[in-house]
Amino acid sequence: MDFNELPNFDLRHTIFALITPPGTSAVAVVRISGKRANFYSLCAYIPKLPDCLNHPRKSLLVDFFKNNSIILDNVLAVYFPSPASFTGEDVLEISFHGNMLIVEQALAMLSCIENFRHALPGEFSFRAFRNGKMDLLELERLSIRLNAKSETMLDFASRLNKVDLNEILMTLRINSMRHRAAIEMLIDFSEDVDEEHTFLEICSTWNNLYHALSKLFRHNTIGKSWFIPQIVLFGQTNAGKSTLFNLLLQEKRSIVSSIPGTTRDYVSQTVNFEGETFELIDTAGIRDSQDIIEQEGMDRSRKLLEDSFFKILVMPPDSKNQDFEGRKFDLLLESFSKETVINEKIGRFNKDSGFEELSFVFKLAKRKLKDAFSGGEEVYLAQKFKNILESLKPYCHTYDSYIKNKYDIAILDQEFRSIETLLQKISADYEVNEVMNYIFSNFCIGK
Amino acid sequence: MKLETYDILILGAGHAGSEAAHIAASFNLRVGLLTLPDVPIASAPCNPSIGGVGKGQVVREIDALGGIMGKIADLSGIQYRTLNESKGAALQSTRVQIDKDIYAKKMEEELQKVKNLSIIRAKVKKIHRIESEYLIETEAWSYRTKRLIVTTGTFLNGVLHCGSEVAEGGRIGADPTDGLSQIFEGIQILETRFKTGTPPRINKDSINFQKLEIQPSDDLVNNFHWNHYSSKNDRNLLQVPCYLTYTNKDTLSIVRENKEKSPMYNGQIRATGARYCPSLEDKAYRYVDKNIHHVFLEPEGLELNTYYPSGISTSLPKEIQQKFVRTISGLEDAIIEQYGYAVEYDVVDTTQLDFTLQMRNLPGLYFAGQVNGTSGYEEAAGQGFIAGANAALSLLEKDPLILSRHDSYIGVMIEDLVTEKRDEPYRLFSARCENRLMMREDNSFTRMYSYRKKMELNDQIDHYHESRRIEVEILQNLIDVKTSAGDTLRIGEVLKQPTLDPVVELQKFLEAADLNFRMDVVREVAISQKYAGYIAKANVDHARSNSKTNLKISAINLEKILKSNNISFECKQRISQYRPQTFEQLQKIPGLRPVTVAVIAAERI
Ligand SMILES: Cc1cc2nc3c(=O)[nH]c(=O)nc-3n(C[C@H](O)[C@H](O)[C@H](O)COP(=O)(O)OP(=O)(O)OC[C@H]3O[C@@H](n4cnc5c(N)ncnc54)[C@H](O)[C@@H]3O)c2cc1C
Ligand SMILES: Nc1nc2c(ncn2[C@@H]2O[C@H](COP(=O)(O)OP(=O)(O)OP(=O)(O)O)[C@@H](O)[C@H]2O)c(=O)[nH]1
Ligand SMILES: [Mg+2]
Repeated sequence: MDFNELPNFDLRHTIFALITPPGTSAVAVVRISGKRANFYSLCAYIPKLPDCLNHPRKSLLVDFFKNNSIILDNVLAVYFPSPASFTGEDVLEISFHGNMLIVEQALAMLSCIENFRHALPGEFSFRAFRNGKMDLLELERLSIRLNAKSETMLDFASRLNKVDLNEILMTLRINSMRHRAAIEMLIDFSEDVDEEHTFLEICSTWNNLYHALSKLFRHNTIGKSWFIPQIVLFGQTNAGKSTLFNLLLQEKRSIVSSIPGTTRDYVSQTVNFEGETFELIDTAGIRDSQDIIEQEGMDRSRKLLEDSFFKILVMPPDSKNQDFEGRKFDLLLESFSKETVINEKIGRFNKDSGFEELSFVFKLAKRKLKDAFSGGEEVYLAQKFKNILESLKPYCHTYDSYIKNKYDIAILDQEFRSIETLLQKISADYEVNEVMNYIFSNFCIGK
Repeated sequence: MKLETYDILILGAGHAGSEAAHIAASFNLRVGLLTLPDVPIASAPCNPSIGGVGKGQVVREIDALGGIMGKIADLSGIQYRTLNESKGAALQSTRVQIDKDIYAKKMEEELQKVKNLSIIRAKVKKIHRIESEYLIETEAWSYRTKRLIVTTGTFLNGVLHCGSEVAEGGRIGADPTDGLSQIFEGIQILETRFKTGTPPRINKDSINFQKLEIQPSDDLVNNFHWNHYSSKNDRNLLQVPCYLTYTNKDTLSIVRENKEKSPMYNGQIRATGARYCPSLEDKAYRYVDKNIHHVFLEPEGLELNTYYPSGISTSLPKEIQQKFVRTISGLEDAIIEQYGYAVEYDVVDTTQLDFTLQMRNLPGLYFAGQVNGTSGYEEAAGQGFIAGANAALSLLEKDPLILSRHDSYIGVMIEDLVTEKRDEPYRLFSARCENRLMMREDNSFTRMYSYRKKMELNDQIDHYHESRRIEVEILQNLIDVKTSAGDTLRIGEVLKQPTLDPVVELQKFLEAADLNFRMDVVREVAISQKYAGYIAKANVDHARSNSKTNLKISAINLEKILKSNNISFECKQRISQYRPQTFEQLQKIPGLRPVTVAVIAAERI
């Protein structure tokens, strides 16, 4: 989800969608989000709706009519008034019996109501974001959960909720806002407040913020490719990468030949292994070549390797060249060998051996995945956040020295603005009014 | 009934109305200024001072646009101070204590001198809209006007409170006037009424000055009005000090003990006051642990026998005011000349106004000043100027005068007013503006240059603008090239040193080179240079944010750029080499100074 390029969702419409997975299950929940006043149009289908609207957060058993006399389904309806709802708007959630035929009819009936329409993908989240119910980070987290294709990733996403990243971000936000307040106080209310005291306030609020940020700087990231962890086969030409690729997939997907430089572009395929989904990638082999296309292919190979989760170096037998191009690998595989050695560092495989023997490759990848995400208190940040944090570092460093050297407040103010601008990308923004509120409610300002 | 017609009529000769009338009349239109007979023109019902953080900038912006607030403040100024003096040149603001009688007198004299302007002293009873014009009724006369500017301050449905005494009126001693809705049908006012208050005035002879800290006037502060700039900062009147004292535990205990007698806390007043302007009651009940608060004693005038104790605004009953005042050091024997009170009043919903302060659904009708929910004389004057100029410009069918929030405090205020509903009285803070390193007092003339020019007036100030602009440019070019004697650093670099005072450095440099420039020009150029990097960055950020509103793809005027005086020769060369068509292309030219890009973005040339 790129939130800089959000589609132009029309906020005036009441939107609805099925929020449980489609298919036959016990219940199917339809969420309707918009303004309470517009929900009354639903009374045509749910005559008892006003009861629901008058009893927020209570689930009531009501009839959903198909027409004047025929009941479509007997449903549970719960009303969540704004702002304490998923989207921050008024929300009505209706649980149907999980028969898709019923649900589809109901959805069709809903779209007949004026200004009601089916939600676009991500639109509920979008509204939630707009209404300050989620910051970008929460949305990222949600997208991890929605995109997670493997058990480990799902497990990870659910644990993200427990390690409360949001709390960390709230700390950042509060500290940043307080620091801003201290700066404004020194500038706008210098007559009302004690200057020395206010400068101390500037220092202490900054120290709190810097401390919280420094803690975050140390956290790891999860790369995009980790959503479906990539396993990349890398090595010189003719090492046997494509052969191994086909063996692992148990199908002839990649072209195998004795001509060096057979694979020109990468070939990829997702595989399922014991509940995990991986993307297996065969790359173009590396060798000295003047061929422009081949060079491009090799660049792609290197790029893929860099971003990949599990890196395998495939080598011709008895190769001395164990650290290829000075890179690090998770597994070295030697082709053309009789025995199969299962070793975390070095494995050999037999051309004729079956998949069973090779499955250790996936087992190793799976183990790495589990290890990566079982880091206890560790917080993993999406790459986007890590990038923002990285760009914050030098600013914070300079700013810290400016504060220590008691620079002109005009300069501090301006420098801090750069930090705020970056911070605003990871945790929700604050406005002048909030800063002012904070000042007025915590310090006695004014004559 | 007798009838008179005007081009523009202003209702209310407060700070907003006076400024509006003055500028409107300079367009050679027939202008009338209607105001209550018993209220002095541009009177100061509250603290006797003009300027302050953010507000000083507004006064200088008004001055550079051709307004009068700065001039009158100088003529009546009895103490000058620079606020934020220790905080670097960029954030400094001027404040002047005024003799409030002289202020009102000088304003009246000044307005009487204005050609085409008639001052009419009468209470307005009713306003009607007839076709596209307005008909205003007073007791004896009717007036017809094409443009009407309402600047009635706190007088709309004003209710005064002093303890349990309640009276109608906009301020003590003035005739009450009806609510907006009674005078005029169809105006939307905010549901919440606003409230403001003022402290008791103290008899001068009853103050024991020996016990107080003295705050003398500062000779180094530049006068407000451009025609009063002088190297010695000559003042018009005798300069007198202010004094500082403090409240204590006893003061606050008395206020706390009488909470149920406070109209603001016993439910008698329901209106919203400004939190940045707390009454002593607010301070006592909200900050229960704090007993020591500043009290500034400010003289109300040279001849006047009263002091204004800033910091103890109150609407408690008279006997309690008397009691708590006497607990304050230096005020043990204080005699109160006029008791403090609070006033509640109606406020127009400013989101109904456009950027020229005209009612969107009632063309020809403008609102400015406290009636718009702002507080402060400077805010009122700034709006008055904008409404007055625009009423005239629209009548002459010229382009409106709209100040950007990117280069003026007035622009910030107007945008805030017309885009957001107020929930408390509005005051300008420097925190409200995103570009305060650029929006300084010292460069107000440079900032207002193009706005003044846009009005196409031809006055003394326009000549001053031109000559000053040239001088700024010469000095600017000079520091771009010159190296100070024996110094390896270019003077331009020296001025940027964080630990040096740029003004002092530039002065030294000019003295050594035996060059003579106006002091205000030296100040502007020195300070601009010091913060140049930051200002350029802010401008670029601004340009970036503007790119959404398609600055990026907007065509640029190459000819104008190549002629511009603000762009260096090298940059012009580069630009003519690449001949960009759009702003985005221009941004991509290698080696172009960011400042140049910013200048082009800001001026949209
Ligand atoms: C008691 C009090 C306390 C204040 N305290 C503060 C403070 O602490 N801090 C601060 O920043 N500001 C304070 N102010 C606000 C400041 O005085 C105003 O913001 C400023 O004066 C507003 O200027 P204005 O031109 O909008 O209105 P005003 O200066 O109030 O002028 C209104 C004019 O309208 C005229 N008028 C009204 N009705 C009619 C009618 N029907 N017919 C003809 N003429 C009419 C009056 O004669 C008057 O000249 C206070 C004001 C008051 C009254
Ligand atoms: N005997 C034997 N031959 C192998 C083995 N693995 C691959 N080969 C042969 O080696 C040659 C190259 O194999 P590929 O899998 O195409 O090699 P590659 O690494 O994909 O080569 P490029 O795509 O050119 O980079 C083919 O002729 C394969 O049959 C192996 O384990 N034993
Ligand atoms: Mg291959």
